[in-house]
Amino acid sequence: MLPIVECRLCHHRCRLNEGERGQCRVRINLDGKLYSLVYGKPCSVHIDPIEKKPLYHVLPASASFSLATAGCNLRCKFCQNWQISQSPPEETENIDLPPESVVREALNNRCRSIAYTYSDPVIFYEYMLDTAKLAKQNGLINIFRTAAFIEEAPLLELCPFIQTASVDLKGITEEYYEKMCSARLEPVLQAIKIMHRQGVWLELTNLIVPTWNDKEKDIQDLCRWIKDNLGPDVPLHFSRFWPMHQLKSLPPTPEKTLARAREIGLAAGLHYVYVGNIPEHEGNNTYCPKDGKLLIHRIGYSTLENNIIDGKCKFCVTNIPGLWA
Amino acid sequence: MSQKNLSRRGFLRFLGGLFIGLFATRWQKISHIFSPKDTPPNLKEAKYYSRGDEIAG
Repeated sequence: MLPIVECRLCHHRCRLNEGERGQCRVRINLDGKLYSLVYGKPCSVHIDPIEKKPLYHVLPASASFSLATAGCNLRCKFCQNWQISQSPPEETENIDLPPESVVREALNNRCRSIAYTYSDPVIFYEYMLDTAKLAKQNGLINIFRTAAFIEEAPLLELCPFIQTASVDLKGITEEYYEKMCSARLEPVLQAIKIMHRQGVWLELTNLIVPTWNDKEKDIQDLCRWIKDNLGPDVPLHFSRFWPMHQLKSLPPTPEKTLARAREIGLAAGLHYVYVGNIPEHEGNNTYCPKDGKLLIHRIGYSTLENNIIDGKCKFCVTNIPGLWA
Repeated sequence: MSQKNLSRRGFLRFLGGLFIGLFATRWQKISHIFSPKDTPPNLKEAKYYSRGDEIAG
């Protein structure tokens, strides 16, 4: 009888009999070995503005070569990329793009970074790792766009090659992670702290879903956790929910809820709190935490004005953390 | 046709059949995953997993 395998990539720790796949839909036990089904086979490849990740403190106004395979190890009810994240690879249109081709295409298209994104790159770990190593050798920044539901060992191996991570901190309660995402909060918090300790530049995103995680106490607790564990300089992006996937009956997040969330974040002592999807709101911009001057003026994903010079405020020379060059 | 040619042809057919049989056996394991129109999977052994008696509990 062929042996079972236990995946050790994420905390689901799927135990698989011969021919079975993990919850991510893209790892399979064949002949007693665990294989990825999506290595070098992305189903989504785009060139995006880096601000879309969202990353506001990394290479402003630059292009990011962005890719994803099918599959995901979470089951978020609000997922905007559910067509690929909740599909096995045989139901997506995949292309052949080995790591060296990813790097070549990124360079040929004058991208300064490669983003592993859209679904969750944890599930195409080997592909991401090999590509990230080549990308770093070629002077490209690697962006890990993730829900961070990943075991410590693979994360520690990955960290030296990813300069920045855009992490979804979806909520601040175990109940929310279980009911909304079929995952757990604590491993995500641990992974965020690991990346922070390893020197990965972090920007966190919280999607505010009406009636689920929009209470002021939840937002206060989330902001407090960030301040206490990561410090005030980790940017936090509050993102607007749009009816999608399994939550089409809910309304979009009201603009005033996002604006209030930003107020709570700033009151909690966080220096950089942003709101997404509210045109012309001051929450789109970066301000100096010391003198309050406008540093980066944005409309949508476009940068209209940048007053950060050599990583410092142009006006008072305060260090503004990020990867600016 | 000479006996020698018949033997050679037979041997080559045997080798061809053996090759196809081995390939078909392997392909059979994964062809049901992908339709003929799709690119075949590029199987890559995972980096982080345990097998059989390495698994606790």
